[in-house]
Amino acid sequence: MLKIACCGLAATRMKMIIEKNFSKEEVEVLTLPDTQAVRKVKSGEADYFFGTCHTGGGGSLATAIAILGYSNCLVLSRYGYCPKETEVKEKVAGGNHKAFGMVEGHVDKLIIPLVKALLEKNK
Amino acid sequence: MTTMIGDYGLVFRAIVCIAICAWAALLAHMNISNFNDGARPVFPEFIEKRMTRTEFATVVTGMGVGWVASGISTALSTTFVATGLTLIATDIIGVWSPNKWVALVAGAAWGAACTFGLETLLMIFESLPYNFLIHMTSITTPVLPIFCFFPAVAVAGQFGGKKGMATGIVQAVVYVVCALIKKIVFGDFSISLQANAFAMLIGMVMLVRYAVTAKSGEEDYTDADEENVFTRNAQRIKGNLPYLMVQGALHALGIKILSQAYQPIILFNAASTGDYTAFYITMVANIIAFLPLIVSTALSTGVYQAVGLTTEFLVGALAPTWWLAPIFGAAVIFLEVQFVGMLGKLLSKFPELRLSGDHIRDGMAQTLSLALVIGSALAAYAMWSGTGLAILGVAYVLNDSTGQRVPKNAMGPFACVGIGLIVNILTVLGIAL
Repeated sequence: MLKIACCGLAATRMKMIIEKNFSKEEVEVLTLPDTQAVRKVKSGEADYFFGTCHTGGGGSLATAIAILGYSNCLVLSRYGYCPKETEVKEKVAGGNHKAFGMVEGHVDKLIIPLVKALLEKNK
Repeated sequence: MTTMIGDYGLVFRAIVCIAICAWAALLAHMNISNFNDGARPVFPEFIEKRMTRTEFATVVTGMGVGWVASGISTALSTTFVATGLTLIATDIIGVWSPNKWVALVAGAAWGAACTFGLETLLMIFESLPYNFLIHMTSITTPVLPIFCFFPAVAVAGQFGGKKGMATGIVQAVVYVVCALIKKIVFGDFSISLQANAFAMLIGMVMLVRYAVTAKSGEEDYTDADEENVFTRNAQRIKGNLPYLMVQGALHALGIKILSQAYQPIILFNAASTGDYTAFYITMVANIIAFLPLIVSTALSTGVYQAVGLTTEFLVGALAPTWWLAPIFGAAVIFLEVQFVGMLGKLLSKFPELRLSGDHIRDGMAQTLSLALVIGSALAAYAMWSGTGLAILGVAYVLNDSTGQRVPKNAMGPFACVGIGLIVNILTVLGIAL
């Protein structure tokens, strides 16, 4: 089972999407203030951090970069660029990131492929 | 003469905008401050030499490009040069510049390009046979009536649907009552009941009340290592105080004379009606919304936010004369920097406040986004009735389904410019609509 902390502008929407599309045995969602969420990822209490903001790389990952380090964070989507489902899969498989940042308006498109890719990776 | 609003001439506005951009690029180059909150956490990677300048600048550029597009679309619907256009670009210019002088000169050039470029573009549009700029500003018409409900959205996100509905209903009642009564008169003295402003105010009061009385989650903690980093970074920011105060002065002056706008669409409504109440309330909410993000990124990096906690814009707009604005701006930056370390400690005691910041920003983004779609529809319809709506609709939906290459909020205004240009071509060809 994956423990994912959803934070930032679209935290509630991400939680709803994940709970609707994945079973409780597959994913557990936490919504916390970002500092607490990132520390849980750092200590291993949570597996992944999803952040959202207007720009994807903006406020969404600010705390994650500060605490987990830049190399553990991936700007998944940017203002003006939303990756396709296959690209999400490649990005997740190709790196070892713990925190993912995306634009709040892209959440509806990205969350399902992202969680699927993470589940596959952790099989 | 363009449709530009405000009492200050082009030359004055241009000089201030040039100074703002030159200074901001210099401070970004010196790692003293930057505007994009997302790029700030990457600065230590460069300062501590884990990244080369080219790698670092590429990351900062990637994060900023969409904003500049969005800044252009805002400029076309408000005639304002806003921070999205100026300061996101100066971050990029500053970090690419090989030395201080290049940063200063390239920053200044960008400032000039913003003011004169926009002025030229507006002049060209105005001289076209069919002047569609009059209709472009109607993009902002629905903004305040919709935007003022952001507190209800924020409450719904943070405290659940029931409290969100309750806030929305109270706001709606206040809105309708104010809209019906319009004005209270006591003899010679009268208060105008601006519905947008009062609905926003009551909503913010309810949000703050919920946030204060909410059952606080676990208290945040910082370990000793982080504590040391925060203290060292607060000292670094204090060491740059003179630079930051100059920047605060410039920004406060910029907003007073409308040389550089912040929250441009709300400011446009304020400046064109002369009633700044809604803008002031928006700015107070804005300060609450950004404070946690700005304080925590500043303390974890030692790089300050180029616009501080955004209080400089509130006091700049409040300043009774233009020459008082920079004094106010420098003063609030002085205070902010003195207290930034303390604010960090305070925030870790109240995690609910951190969450409120996220939800207020979400509420603002969602309401603004809807308002801009409706506003663009009004403009498209005014220019070319049903056909205008058709073009706008197809452009919006296609952009959305092909990965939002144009930022969502910029698409409507850009489509409207397109419609305006098509109408011009048809007018020149003598085809009646």
